[in-house]
Amino acid sequence: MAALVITPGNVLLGTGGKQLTVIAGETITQGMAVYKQTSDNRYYKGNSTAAATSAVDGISLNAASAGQPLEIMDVSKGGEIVIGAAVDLAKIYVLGSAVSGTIKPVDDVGTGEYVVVIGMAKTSTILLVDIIDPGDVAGGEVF
Amino acid sequence: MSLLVITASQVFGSGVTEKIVTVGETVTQGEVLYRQTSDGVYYKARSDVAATAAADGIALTAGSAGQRIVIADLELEGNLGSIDLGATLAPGMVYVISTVVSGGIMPITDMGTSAWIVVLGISDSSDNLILDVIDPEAQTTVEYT
Repeated sequence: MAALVITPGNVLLGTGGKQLTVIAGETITQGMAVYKQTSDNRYYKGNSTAAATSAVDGISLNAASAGQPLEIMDVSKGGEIVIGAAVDLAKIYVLGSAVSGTIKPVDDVGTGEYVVVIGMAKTSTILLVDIIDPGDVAGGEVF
Repeated sequence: MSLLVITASQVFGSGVTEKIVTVGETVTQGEVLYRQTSDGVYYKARSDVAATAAADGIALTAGSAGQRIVIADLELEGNLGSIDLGATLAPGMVYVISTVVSGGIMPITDMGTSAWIVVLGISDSSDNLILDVIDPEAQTTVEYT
């Protein structure tokens, strides 16, 4: 297993999802897990290899470059997202580590990662989003 | 003079009213959009066809068919703001919807006959367009070159 290969054109907000307009801090495309950087209130691609970037505040719904408005799914409100990639039913997905902004199955979590759970696959295309972020805690290998 | 070559990452609105809309096709920053009345979805405008010759917004983010993006709303009354298009403009030039490329912007001097002219605004610097839509909703037969 590896990070989800997302087709940006297929990412859509799903049932119960709430959207939010924010400002992008870097170039972002649809389906990326993003976090809010508190120093400038802009949104950047998350990455679980560093404490500072291991957070998920949204999943991008459109594409934008630094300083441009960006539509995200407000993950704090839960709901579903059509993630534009094939996901395994009932599998838990987490923030990626090798490439910023990616989403990967929990099986891929390695030692020292700051794990952030994004949600569970409800169908082969839909993630039921429910963030679990223990904070800046580096975990062990999950599998 | 010809179609503006827009760098998507350098498109920024200033004083614009942002609006979230659904697009009916792949759209990138800086493209001119019209709202299709039958479904309320936004598509790239083009002034060589009456049905698509309208300027209801300029894309500030990118998206694909069915996705929601942020636009600078051009349907409002009053001050529409301005937009840095990330392109080289001629200060003082009037810009209009392209007759050739959907979503494109071109100087009014490129207008030919038999197109439905829609003015987007006038540039006040080499990269900024003061937005002020003028849409006569009628075919022009005037060549501006």
